[in-house]
Amino acid sequence: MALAPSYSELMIGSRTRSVVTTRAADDRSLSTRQSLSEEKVWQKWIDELLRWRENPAILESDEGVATSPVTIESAIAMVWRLSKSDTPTPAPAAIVPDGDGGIAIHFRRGELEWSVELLASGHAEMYTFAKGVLISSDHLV
Amino acid sequence: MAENSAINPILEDEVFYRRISQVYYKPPSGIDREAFLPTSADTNGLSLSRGHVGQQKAAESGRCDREFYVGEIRARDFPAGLSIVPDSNDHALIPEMTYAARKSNDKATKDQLRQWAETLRRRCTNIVGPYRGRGPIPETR
Repeated sequence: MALAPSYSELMIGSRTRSVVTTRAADDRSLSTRQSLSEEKVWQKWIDELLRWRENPAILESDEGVATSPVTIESAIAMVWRLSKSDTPTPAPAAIVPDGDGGIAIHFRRGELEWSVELLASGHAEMYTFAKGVLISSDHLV
Repeated sequence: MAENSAINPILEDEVFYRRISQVYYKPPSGIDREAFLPTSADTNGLSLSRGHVGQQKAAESGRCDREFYVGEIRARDFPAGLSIVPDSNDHALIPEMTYAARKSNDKATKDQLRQWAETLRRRCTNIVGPYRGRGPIPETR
């Protein structure tokens, strides 16, 4: 069974400002590493994140907690980087607001699930589950 | 005390409903774990509606500019370590799953919270909706 990316691998560059502008920016290199269907899913999420950047009110929680532009930029940078990674990474299964001003990115491969939570505080946490059991977590304080 | 004694006790096979923001449920992929993480509103514990309330009424407590699904969990399906405390005949709390636990700096506390949320997510069944909320729209913060 393939392992989830390491925490450090996920976090490198995630705090840098996104340079994502259009799909055409690096389309060729993306397609050399991902299947067409995977590529479409990655692009769907990048497009969704860019939509959130334009209209962050979409992310407001049921209690009215907003997601900061910095957190959205972090999510864009992380997803963009992973989509271009030489280490095969499945496209996210879901990217959702975390209900507390952050964004959670969920990945699934078989019975393995891992999530990166980009918190409103600027911290990040990663949780890995196997068949519903938490097997590891990393917290960046 | 007189008021508490009027609250019906929890039965072993009692059904509870969890209101799930539409963003956390996209059939057929299932519910995201965030649907079971406490938010700033959950100061005394994760909120549940008791079964006799019905799914639609359980959803209607949500803000009126959103739609919500409702998932079902039976008392006997709650993971070990969690308790269910009725605070009225219509509502109950899971006092171990508070917003304070989510914001804790203790890694074990946060890990346990994710594990409980993951287990509840997996044991939540009979998801129906979406229903339009009827509650007030909170101020953005």
